Amino acid sequence: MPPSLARGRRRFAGLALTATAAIGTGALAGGGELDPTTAAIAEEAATIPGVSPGPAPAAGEIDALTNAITSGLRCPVCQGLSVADSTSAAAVTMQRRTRALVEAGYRREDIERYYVERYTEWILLSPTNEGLNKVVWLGPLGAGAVGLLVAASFLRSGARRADRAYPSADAALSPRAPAATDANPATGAIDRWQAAVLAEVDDD
Amino acid sequence: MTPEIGTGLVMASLVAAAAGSALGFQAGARQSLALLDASRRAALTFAGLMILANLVMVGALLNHDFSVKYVAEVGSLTTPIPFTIVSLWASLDGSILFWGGILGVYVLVFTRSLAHRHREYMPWTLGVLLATCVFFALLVAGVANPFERVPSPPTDGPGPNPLLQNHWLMIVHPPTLYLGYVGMVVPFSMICAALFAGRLEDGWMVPLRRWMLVPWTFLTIGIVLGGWWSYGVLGWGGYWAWDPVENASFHPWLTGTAFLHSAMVFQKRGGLRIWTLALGMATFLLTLVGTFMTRSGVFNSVHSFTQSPIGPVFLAFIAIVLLFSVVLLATREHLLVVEDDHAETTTMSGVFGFEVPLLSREAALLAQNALFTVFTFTVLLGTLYPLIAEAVDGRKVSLGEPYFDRWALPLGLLMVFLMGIGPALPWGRMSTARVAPRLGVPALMGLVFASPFALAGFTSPVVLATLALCGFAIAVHALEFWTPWRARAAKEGWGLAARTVFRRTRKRWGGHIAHHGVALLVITIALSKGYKQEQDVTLHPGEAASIGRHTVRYLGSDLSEEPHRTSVGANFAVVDGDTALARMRPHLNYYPTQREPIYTPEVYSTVRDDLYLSIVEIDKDGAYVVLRMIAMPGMLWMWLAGGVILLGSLIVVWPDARRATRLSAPSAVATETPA
Amino acid sequence: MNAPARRGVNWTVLAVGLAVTVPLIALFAASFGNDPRAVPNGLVGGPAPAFQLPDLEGAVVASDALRGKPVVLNFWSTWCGPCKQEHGALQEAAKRHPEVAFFGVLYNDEAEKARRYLEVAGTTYRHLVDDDGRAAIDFGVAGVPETYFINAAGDIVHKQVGPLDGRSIEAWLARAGGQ
Repeated sequence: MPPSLARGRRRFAGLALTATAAIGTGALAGGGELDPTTAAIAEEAATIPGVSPGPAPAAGEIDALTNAITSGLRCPVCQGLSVADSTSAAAVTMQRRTRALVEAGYRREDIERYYVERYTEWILLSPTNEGLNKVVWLGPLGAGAVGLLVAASFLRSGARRADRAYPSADAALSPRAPAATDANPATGAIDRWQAAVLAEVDDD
Repeated sequence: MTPEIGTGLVMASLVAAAAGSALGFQAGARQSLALLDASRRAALTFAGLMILANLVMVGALLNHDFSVKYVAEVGSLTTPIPFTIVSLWASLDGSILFWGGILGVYVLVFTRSLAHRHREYMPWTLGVLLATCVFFALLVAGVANPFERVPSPPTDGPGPNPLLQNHWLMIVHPPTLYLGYVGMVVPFSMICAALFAGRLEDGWMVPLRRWMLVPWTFLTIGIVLGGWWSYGVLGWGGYWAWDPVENASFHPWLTGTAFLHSAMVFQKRGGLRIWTLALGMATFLLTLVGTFMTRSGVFNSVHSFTQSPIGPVFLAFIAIVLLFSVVLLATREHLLVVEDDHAETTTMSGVFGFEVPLLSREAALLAQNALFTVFTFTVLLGTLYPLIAEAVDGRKVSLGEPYFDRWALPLGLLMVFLMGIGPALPWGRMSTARVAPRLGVPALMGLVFASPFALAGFTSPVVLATLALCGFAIAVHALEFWTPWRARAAKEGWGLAARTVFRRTRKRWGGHIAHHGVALLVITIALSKGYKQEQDVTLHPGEAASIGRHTVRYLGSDLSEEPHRTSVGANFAVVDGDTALARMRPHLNYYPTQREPIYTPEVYSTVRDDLYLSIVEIDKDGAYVVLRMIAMPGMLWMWLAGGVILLGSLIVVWPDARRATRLSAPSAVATETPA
Repeated sequence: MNAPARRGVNWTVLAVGLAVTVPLIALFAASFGNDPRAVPNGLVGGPAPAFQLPDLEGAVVASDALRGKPVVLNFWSTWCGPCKQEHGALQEAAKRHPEVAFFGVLYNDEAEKARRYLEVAGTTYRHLVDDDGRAAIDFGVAGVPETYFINAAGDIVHKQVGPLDGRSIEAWLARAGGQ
């Protein structure tokens, strides 16, 4: 049944193949051809038009940086997975392209902007903190503040009434508690514990 | 005949539910026991008919009766029998019938278990419960009737969605989650009943908490199983992607958990009344919202079935239930009569119903509630924001793992911290001098717990902090077993002491065990997220590659034909030097109905870590394979943690052999102590 | 047994409750028409990215040399059903519009397979091999088939997601400046 196992999932570096083919056949007649060398195509592959790369990162940092960028990009053909996580052809292609750009010395912001220009901010799995998007960054903080305020108001109302009669757990746990009069220290401990349990609601 | 029998059963169940609901409300309004009895019978009839309708559908699936619309849609002669039964929930219409069936099971068990008690509440409960049943019976009978007759039945069908046939977990995960989702209607109805009846006593709070805990347990296990399915099937080496539908199951879990805790404050101190009721209602409402997200096609998700006419109908139902809940709570809540012994605290309370000393159990529970609510709000906002952005300014935005993780990390750490602090603090006021040792010893144990991990190379500060906090929480909960056990053991020996203490405080033990499960779960999340290693390699037969401490050798590919699919596998040996430890065969399953194969990963689990292999690409002749290798520490413990939570919950929920086993007074100990 | 005969509404609960629930319902209702699977493209309306790709015979085509006439770029692959469905319509249109440069761009596929497919299905224009997927990412392709209509000035006039038919090709060509 499976006629082509690699269907839709190709990820083999195509550069070498393409380049060989280009050298082998040379230019044909027709509009719009150039006759570039292998190097021209290969070099072309790792640029972002209009942006100049910085110094290339150290070899040890390339993996981490590539992964950091692709973890934040949404795979276009998946359902909410990141480019880093997905094994689909489209995602693998993007992983490779990102790595090439990282190796060429582009910064994270440049590479992300490159993707956003093409796929809009949809491609970012964590939205920017701009415009309406502020809602998702400030919203949880606001909710946290409200939660703190409400909780604190309970505590304040408790503090103001500190002098009032109030069930005290100390009483249950204190050595003077009736249950602890037993001479046996072990029984004393268990009874104190039990008193503490009773002081709590043992609901059912 | 099957289409007519099935439709007939659903119609009859619709009538039974409608009658039972009307009778229930009447019985409540008139305080009539005769009407209550009639309503109860109608409820049992509904349950029986709905369950029967499900069995008829399963029968039709097994008999390959393609004259039934749903069987023609998802049935196939070649599908193995287990997956044929599973087809019941493989597609939209069937899953709604299945929903009705689960509803039937809940109605049956609930009605029977509380048969002749709680006469003030039961009529209203049945009224509300059966009203929701009316809606689902209407859905099944109308928009989504799976029993519709196919005029010219095909000789064979396409079979269920391949993704559902691909793993045994698909047999367990959906029903578990359904049991969690659907069951939330029971506590919802019970809360509505309290509001209608204008009273809420401990006698009703006890079954209410229990009926929240039952679906909560299923929901928890369903979520864990869902993570396991995602991990074992989807091939990306993760278990939680903050997919809208995963979030949808997380919302009611958060509010349900908050309810279980705030209910304790309500029962003990009479405070947080509106809040507790609102949380209980919200939990059910969020399951409806979650179902809508799954079914409407408004969200992009692994789970969403295609756009269907059910969406608008369901939204109308959600709107009705939401508004009904808000109005009911706003107009009836202040009429509630509560237990007398709360009256004292209630009258001396501040605006929120009661006062809270800083170092007390209630303060910890209050903080827990605030935290869970903020967490729910955050996840809900993040899930809905793409819709908001599109509605407001037409932009498409995405929120995924990087966004949610950023919030989940601090919130999760705080949750674990409170989980440790809460049980260490007693109810009511307590002096700092007494609190210090109760927290100090476990805190020390937390550090002790984290240190071997630090020595083993897990040096990330966040991971270590999580481990220490989890160790702290585990120690606090463990001391709650240990202290009384040791104290008793001095007199009656370890074995007997364990039995006595367990019997006397069974529910507390269950709670502590469940919390241990949660701590274990958080530990595994921290380890697997912090120390996941992955790489893609290209291997030719005979070549080997390593990740972490594992090495695999590629042996070549093979092809196997099964009646319902063809599978292409890449064979690997997990090797240690020259010894082969295991064979692994990540593979691609080809289903006749689907052009693209399903990439199925394979996992080699050890106590320390998992080795996860997923095919990226395989050459048709087996000349090479592009393989994604992932090593994740501690994964086995994640699924085990689910089991621990289940065990703890079961201990709590398990019906009492005799009600009198609870502690009555400290003196009871003395009389039972052997001389 | 009866509740106290107090009447009234807790307006705070009502207000907070409605403030939470009504927007939620409205949001869901407003979202029904959305296509959650659509992937937006930020390049439409602006200049098309430059490309330089070999065709199936290995001759390289560069976008610079195409400036001055409308271009249609059709991203496709042999494993994609809808691509085959629109294949005929595209061949027809290319024959009718010699003033427009039509190109197929092979997406995540092997040149050999494309060659075999085209031998059977026939073709009236050239197909480029985007072997490392660079052109696809440069154009913001999210899947196949996707077709870009580029005018003589080099701006993307339209991006078609999913299969085209003869009539829609004509309509978009008219916008791109074909005759």
